[in-house]
Amino acid sequence: MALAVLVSIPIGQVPPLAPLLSPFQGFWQNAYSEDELAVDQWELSGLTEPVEVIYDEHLIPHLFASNEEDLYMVQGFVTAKHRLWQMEFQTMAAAGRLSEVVGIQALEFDRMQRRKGLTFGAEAGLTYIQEEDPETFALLVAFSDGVNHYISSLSDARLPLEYKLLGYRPEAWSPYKTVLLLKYMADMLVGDKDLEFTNLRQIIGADWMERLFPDFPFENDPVIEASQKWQFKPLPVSKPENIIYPDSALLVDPIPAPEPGVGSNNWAVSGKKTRSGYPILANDPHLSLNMPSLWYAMQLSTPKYSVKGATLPGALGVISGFNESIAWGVTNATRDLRDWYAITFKDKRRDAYLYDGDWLHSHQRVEEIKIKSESSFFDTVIYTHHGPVVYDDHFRSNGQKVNFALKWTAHEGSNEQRAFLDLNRGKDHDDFIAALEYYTAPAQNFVFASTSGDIAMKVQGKFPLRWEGQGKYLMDGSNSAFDWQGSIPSEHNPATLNPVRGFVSSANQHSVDSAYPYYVFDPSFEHYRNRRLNKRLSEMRRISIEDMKALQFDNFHLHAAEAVPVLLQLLLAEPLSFTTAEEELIKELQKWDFYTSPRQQEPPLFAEWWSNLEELLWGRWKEEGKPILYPNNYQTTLLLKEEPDSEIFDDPRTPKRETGSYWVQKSFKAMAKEIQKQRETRTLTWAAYKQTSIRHLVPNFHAFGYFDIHTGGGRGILNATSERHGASWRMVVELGEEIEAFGIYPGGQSGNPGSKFYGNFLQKWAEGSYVSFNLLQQENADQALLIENFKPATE
Amino acid sequence: MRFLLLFILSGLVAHYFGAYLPHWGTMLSIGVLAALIGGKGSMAFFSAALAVGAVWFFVPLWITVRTNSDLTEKMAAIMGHTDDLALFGITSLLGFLSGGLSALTGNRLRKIFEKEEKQAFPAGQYGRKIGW
Repeated sequence: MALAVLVSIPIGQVPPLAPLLSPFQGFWQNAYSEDELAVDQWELSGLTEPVEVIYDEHLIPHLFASNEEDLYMVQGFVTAKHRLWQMEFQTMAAAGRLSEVVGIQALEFDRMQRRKGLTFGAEAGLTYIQEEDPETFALLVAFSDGVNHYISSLSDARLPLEYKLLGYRPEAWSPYKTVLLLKYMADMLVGDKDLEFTNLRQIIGADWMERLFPDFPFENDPVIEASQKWQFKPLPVSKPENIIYPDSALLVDPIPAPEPGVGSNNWAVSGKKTRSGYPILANDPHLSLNMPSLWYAMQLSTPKYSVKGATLPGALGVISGFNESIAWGVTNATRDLRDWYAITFKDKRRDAYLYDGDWLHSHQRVEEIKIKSESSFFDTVIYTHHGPVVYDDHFRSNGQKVNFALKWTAHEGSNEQRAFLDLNRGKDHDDFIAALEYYTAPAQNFVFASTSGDIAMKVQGKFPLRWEGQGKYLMDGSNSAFDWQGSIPSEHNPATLNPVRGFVSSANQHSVDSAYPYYVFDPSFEHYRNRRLNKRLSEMRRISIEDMKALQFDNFHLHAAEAVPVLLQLLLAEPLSFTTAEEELIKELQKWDFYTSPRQQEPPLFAEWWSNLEELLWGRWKEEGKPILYPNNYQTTLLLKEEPDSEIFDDPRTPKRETGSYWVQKSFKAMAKEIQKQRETRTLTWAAYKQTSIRHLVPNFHAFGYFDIHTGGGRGILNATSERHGASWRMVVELGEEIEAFGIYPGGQSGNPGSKFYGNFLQKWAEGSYVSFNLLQQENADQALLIENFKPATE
Repeated sequence: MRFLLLFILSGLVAHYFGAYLPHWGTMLSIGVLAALIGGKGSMAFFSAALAVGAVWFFVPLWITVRTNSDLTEKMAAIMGHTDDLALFGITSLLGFLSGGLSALTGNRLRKIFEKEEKQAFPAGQYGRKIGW
């Protein structure tokens, strides 16, 4: 009997063996695909009218409901049916609760999540929706009920595999979790470099900071066309005089920021530039590539509208998609929405802190972090009026007596869910603008096109009203002069409608040019994809859907095209002897067309050369435990081109005076050695060098991921597929009388690693193909893979 | 005869109750069957072990063939095995041991009651008389 007990309970981190291996409840049951387990009829209590769900051949569900409450209840049910583990796991990650399911190795991550105040922000968000928008709250409840109906119907056999492997069961869903998930998007997409900037200013001085990190690049090609005239009267912002920044070395580990060089593209071309005469809209958000896929495709129909596109499992409605009248898409607006304040506490109790000569009361929030197989960890987080104190002597301060508080727009109550629901219902540009009024964070560039022929773009979010330079560096939390002075009114946010150039576009670059009357800053704006995109869109005429698909998959490497001639010139400027093999590499680079398709062999040369060069040029600023950042690729290339003998290239630790040319030659030799070594064992194509992989959300479940994917592109390229990031969703929509739409994402509709729908989109995605995303009429169900009918429960 | 009876009944229980009862429920049912059927302990063990082992071998095999899923290979990789066939073996072995030990436990429980009966009605020959 001891064995019976032994195989039925978890032992440490090992899941119970019998439930996992049982042919009837264990993993074997997860080998079935969704079409093999079809259930025709479901009864749901709370449903008011029947709802029909028609799945197409790719397992994309098309929901037909009589009203929105029924619609979102069934959206909750159907999403949970295919993505339950993922949607719960992501909200647990957002809430800093991963230690509960994976154990103590996640404690550090959980503490950071709690200290950033994401749950605090989600609580504020939920209260805000409950009080300000009871209609949306009712829909959140309906969605939540749908998820919970599915959870309560779940047998052991149908439990998603990850629960079986990790040995836990799903808990109830709630509106709070949906709000939390949307806040988590703000967490994923917002970065700041305030602490790195502060450290680097100490090393190289304020003047070089201005030169290497200018507010606007030399060739600024912003989201809103530079010719835009700003018609509003800006709110006044007063820059305080004689401000003194706290200026000590900051040896803290900064919050992981989004990886530079990845972002998203979206654009819309007006009918005058297209072959059909109808507007075409395209969107491809780039995010970390994971399994199960971040997105879940759906059509949601009521008698009033039909909307289709990518949903975020756990949130209501479609996030990037289209209906019969409009289409919209998102890219990250890449705006610094987080600032750091150094706090001076009165004493060790930290219940009072200095502010304009007075002591203000702080309050505490005790965070209980439950840990699998261990007792809970309790973390006390101090809140000031700026926000939570993330770094203190209990957390990541490396023994320093520091207290840094985080100010972030995501801490405020907001209603992003309503913005997406209203986009789903929208009919024209006015509806689009009205929907965005609800949208706070993460700031996005919303692209728009309509069947009435309009194209538009709006940079939307809640942006703090900052004086010039504010928020770049760590600020003094005891001086009110450093506080935000309010926010930019939504109607002053940059926007454009039907511009003369015939297209709107965004690729995470600067929102505006310097004529915009408010201070705009971020350290990670894009400099290459935007210029490539706008150049192509300007040149193109009689554009077809196929042209737009090809542009999303465009592999031209603009950074390389601009940098390689500069590097080669500096390499050959001074006499240097090359081996025959090195000369061959130079010839290869000279002949390169700067495309990065998977079979090409030149891109690895440049990638290796550039990363070596960057380390040699800027790596000497690094000191143990002191985070800094490097100038971006654009500024580095420009400096090498314009001022190769600049003093910034000199390493003061050596008697010799180093120049740009010196470092270029040295990095070339290092690159040549590395490339030759790698070429000895294999054909070093771009795909083989880059090794794009899509990993499961639990890194240990490597077999549930996909590795060495044969695909091109990379950072700063329109097809931005790098090692671990890339287009997480591609969509092209033509807004004619009959909407014609295509979409694809890396993964599949099913979250079950045993299903044939788990990774079935992957190959198509890797080769730049799409599947049809046309709207389905309820009566045209002939090609359906399966049909499910939901009926109100008879009690 | 008892061997065959327990073999068939254990197999049926493992197969048909397996889908509806938790694992311990199936094991308990087999224990009860073994207690009712009686016989030698080793007979009970091997009869139920072979039955459940066979069910736990053929059902996964049938699922894999029917679904054509590559999940077994993925699971084998995650569980540290390189050979997915080993997973069929381990599953079957676990079924074998679960079934066998459940039956043995039921069988032993019966023996406890049988012993108690003997104590209540002593004299070895008495039993023989009844038997006769």
